[in-house]
Amino acid sequence: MLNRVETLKKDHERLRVLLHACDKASGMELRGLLRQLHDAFLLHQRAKEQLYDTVVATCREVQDSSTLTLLNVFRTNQRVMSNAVHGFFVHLDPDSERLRQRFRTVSEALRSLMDIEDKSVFPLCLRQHSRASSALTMDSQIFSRAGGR
Amino acid sequence: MSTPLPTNLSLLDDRTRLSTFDSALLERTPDPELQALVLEASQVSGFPIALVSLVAHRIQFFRAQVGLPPDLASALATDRCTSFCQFVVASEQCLLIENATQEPDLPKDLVERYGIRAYAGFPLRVMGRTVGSFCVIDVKPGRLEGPVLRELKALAYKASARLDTLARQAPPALVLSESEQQAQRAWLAIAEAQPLLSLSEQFASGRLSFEDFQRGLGALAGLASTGSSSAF
Repeated sequence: MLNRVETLKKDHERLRVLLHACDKASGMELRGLLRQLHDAFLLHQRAKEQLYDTVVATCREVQDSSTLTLLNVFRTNQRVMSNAVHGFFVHLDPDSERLRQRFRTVSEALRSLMDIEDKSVFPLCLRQHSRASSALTMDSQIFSRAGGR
Repeated sequence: MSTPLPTNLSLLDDRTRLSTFDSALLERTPDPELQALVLEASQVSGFPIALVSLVAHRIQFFRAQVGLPPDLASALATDRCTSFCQFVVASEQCLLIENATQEPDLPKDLVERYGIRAYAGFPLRVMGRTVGSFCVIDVKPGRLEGPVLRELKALAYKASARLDTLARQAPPALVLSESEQQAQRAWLAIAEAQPLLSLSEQFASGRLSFEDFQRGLGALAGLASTGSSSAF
């Protein structure tokens, strides 16, 4: 779990570097960078969905309903924004100046999304994983003690 | 006595109207001029809430506001379908509601969630298109008299003029090709999803309680449900 979260955090660093490059880029350069950003974003999103799947499954297993509720809220918001961002990449504006102006909204949204994940979602996943591991370890100890009697 | 609601809401989804919404209009940074106008509207009417509400594709976005509860002040938006302002845009006329609980045809969500009762809204126009409502709201029933309504109408004109100036800083093209329209819709979807992130940000940083976070999400439930199926 720790490794998966660390990998996602490194993705965020790479995405921030690309966003910064896009912020500074000119006309044709911007379109090329946006293609790179889209590819990196898609891979990152898939990895993040897998993380959510894993943590949600564990929450259900250990019946941690409060973490599950919170994770589902973050996941829903993340999906709404990610789908919208995906749409932006698929339908790039043919007008370069308008594309640059509108990209500012995208850039802000992606930065905001990553900040929320760094501050709240990833720590929540790690805390939940650690709690679930302890609970499962305790369960197996109880089970083996009971079986030994 | 309240104004009858329009039955034809087709103007809300008019492509030309929606193409008016671009970054200058849906900017989240407060505009001091618009902010001063909503403050004045609240003082003039005695109603605690005053808004420059822009009725976009899926949300109503509060470009300026005074008096909103913490969750709405964070999100700066609710679903369009639950708004009263949609009727101002659809009819392109002023809408007066004295007691929302007595109006069976009004959406109930904001009445129940936030206790909204009285409402007076005036059309906001940008480049000749009705984009939203300049409105005052109270949580108790109320009626505004002629002189107050005239003052509010004058403030609405000023708000329209300010929005028009902002929009003309980067004027949208008058005729958009199919690919330009797709690009505009795609961008608008991001701008409209921002309120969900704002709520999450405020909650994550401890500035919004979990209860307020959930209430704000409830007011944007339509937005969340339509765009939440994974594309990845």
